[in-house]
Amino acid sequence: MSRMPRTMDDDALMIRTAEGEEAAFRLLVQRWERDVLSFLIHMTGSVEEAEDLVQDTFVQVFRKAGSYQAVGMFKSWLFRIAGNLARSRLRRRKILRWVSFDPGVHDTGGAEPGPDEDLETSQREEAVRAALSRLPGRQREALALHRFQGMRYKEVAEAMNTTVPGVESLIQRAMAALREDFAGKGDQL
Amino acid sequence: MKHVTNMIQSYISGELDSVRAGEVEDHLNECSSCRKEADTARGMWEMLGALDSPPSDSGSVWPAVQARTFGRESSEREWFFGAGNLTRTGLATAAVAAGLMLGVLLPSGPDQQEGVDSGMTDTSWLVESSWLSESSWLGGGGSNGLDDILLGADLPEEGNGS
Repeated sequence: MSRMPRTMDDDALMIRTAEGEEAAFRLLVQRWERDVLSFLIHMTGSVEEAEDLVQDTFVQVFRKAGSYQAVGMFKSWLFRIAGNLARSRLRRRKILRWVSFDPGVHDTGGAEPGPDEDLETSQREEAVRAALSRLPGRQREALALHRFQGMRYKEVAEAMNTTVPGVESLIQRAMAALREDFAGKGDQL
Repeated sequence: MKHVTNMIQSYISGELDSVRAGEVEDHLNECSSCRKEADTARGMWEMLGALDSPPSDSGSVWPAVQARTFGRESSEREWFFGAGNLTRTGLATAAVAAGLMLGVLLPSGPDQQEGVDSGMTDTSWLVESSWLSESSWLGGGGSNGLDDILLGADLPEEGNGS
């Protein structure tokens, strides 16, 4: 197996993947799998399902490598595939809202809360996750891509097949909904 | 200047160009209502930023992905052709032996017997193959019962020309 320079950009790796170079594809998978997993966990609320979907995402990437347009938008393209798979999975589950995290159920591997401060932080994070879970899917997706993946509105728009003003609106509404959700919680947060 | 409520989120997200960002900043310096709105939005934004994904103990997905992409064809090829000559010979021998065992275990009938006798079958090359028929490792010479074993097998009728 040939060795790939780790600095090789995504487009070059995709071209080589399309030509059947396993090492190039492997490098792509290893470069992006953590980000895709994180995004899918935010989307599905289940670590287990997210891990399944990460595999499916990269299998799709491999299958579509031949039709990929190497114009420097790999990340958006990758997350579009991941987002489509996540939405499809949610539809199949007939659950249109994010399932809130329950470490006991999802086995997220979180550490036992120790000192009061940790407990407070943990409760706060739990409350934020629960609030996120109540957002409509598109708003949650836009927010996850922008806030957790660090994607610019333009990239999010590409990934979600919409416009920049569309993304701006989705994120604005998402943030307004979150603030409203927390409004009644007073100093809990 | 009118309120900048609808630009606050984009301002916090760093999505405004420098001109518009400057306008928002100027307004926030003068308008307590919008400043309060911005503070609340910034607090929520930072809270989200502090939210880590739940850790996953799983390793890389590469082995699974590899098995579903490149692995499918390469593993089929490599487990046999990637093996050494000795291993390949052993594997081939084992496969033939398994076939023969299957032939012994399966019942034979007159129709199958007739089929074998009447012409070439899928396994006839085994009988004619010198390296196998001349081998003594089956417990005999050229006529070591191998023919009997094969003729007694429950062989498919297709390709026998009858």
